[in-house]
Amino acid sequence: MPKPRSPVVELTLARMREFTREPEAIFWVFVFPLLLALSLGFAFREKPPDKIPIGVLAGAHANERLAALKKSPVLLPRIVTEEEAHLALRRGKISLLVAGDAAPVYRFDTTRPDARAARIEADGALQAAAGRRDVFRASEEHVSERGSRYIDFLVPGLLA
Amino acid sequence: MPEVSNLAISCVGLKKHYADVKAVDGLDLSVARGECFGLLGPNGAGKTTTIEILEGLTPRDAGDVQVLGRTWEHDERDLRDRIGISLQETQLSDKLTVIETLTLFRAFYRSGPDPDDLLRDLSLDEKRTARVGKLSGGQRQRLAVACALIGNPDILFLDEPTTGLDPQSRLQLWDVVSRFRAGGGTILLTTHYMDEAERLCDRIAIVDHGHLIALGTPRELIAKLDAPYIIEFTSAPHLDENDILAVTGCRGCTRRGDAWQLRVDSLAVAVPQLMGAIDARGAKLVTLSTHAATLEDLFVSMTGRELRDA
Repeated sequence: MPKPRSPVVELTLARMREFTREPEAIFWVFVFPLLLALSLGFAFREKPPDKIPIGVLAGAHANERLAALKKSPVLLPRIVTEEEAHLALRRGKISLLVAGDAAPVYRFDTTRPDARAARIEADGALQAAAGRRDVFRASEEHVSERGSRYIDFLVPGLLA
Repeated sequence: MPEVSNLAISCVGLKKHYADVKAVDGLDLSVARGECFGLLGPNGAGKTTTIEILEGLTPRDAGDVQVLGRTWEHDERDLRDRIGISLQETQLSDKLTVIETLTLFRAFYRSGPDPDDLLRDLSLDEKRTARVGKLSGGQRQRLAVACALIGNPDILFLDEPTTGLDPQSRLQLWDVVSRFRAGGGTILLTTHYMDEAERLCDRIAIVDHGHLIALGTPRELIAKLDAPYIIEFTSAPHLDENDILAVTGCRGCTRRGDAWQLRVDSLAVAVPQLMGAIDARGAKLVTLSTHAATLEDLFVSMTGRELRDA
């Protein structure tokens, strides 16, 4: 008869056998966290910021303003009627409405940060199209820290 | 009473109380080495509590306990290596195979037989690679006993080893116990099956409500009954108690439902006389059975209660 193994080795082997012979345990311990990480990783994946939808009131200056606003990488402009504009602003479908005749009138909800950002961006685009020259040209440094997303905390937290 | 130096187990004045229940109330027992000792009693008599105290699994409230001349307080590690325990219900892992289970238990002991040899002895070799969860009740119980035997113990504790088993499984387990006993091992067995105790045990202690009410060999205990034979009969109409007591050699009778039970000295004398008494009353015999007095009859006569429904 071979010499019996140590009780610790036998107990470890027994526990591992019990574990591997239980398909449910394998699923919950190995497969499920992987699926969870994949699905949450997909849901919270890094993507460029959405453009801010704005409206340009139909009228004499509408097309030229639309062309100027389209040059902005931040804005997503479209031409709307007065009736559409009212409804879209109320429902949040657009954050800003560019109206007015010679001088534009910006109609927006001042409590919404995206609306305030859209107002500055739209004004800059229209001013530039009208011939304004910048006093200086600023450059940008973009910051993107790895591991700062929600999912980067969630999965290790679930596993712990 | 065995000599003190030859004792495998001794306990004196053993007491264990649970809340209001006195499970064991001043029990004195001594089991000699190489003896098969039976602890008998109805459910709730204190058998399991007693055996668990002797196994070192339950602390006692009072009394002295020595196993193989040692105490659980000072020599637990050594004693664990020298005893084998099969509990009333053993929950082994369903996912392990029979041989894996036995190999695991073998690793807990310093010495013992080869697991394969033991499986062969217990007729479990065909189930060697079967999962424990797939075994029948009798096979599981035999595996539990195999786990108790794998450390080559000096004492084997068996707590109701055959309760709930079919007759064939009971016989197979009795065979295992008998072989261990023949090899010089000591056995402490609890059961509420009288035939099991009569067949396996050298001496028997009958306990009830935590007290020892009778102690001796099966033969000695049965001899304590006032009559060696029992007659049970029913008739239509029923006979009077006086008619029955008039039968020669009748030591007493008790009514059990429709049936009368008589304790008699001789069947050859009593049965014809009983027939005569029934005829004389113009009654008709409906059922009749006779048997030699058993431990069950002793228990009934000592406590007035049935052993199994008490």
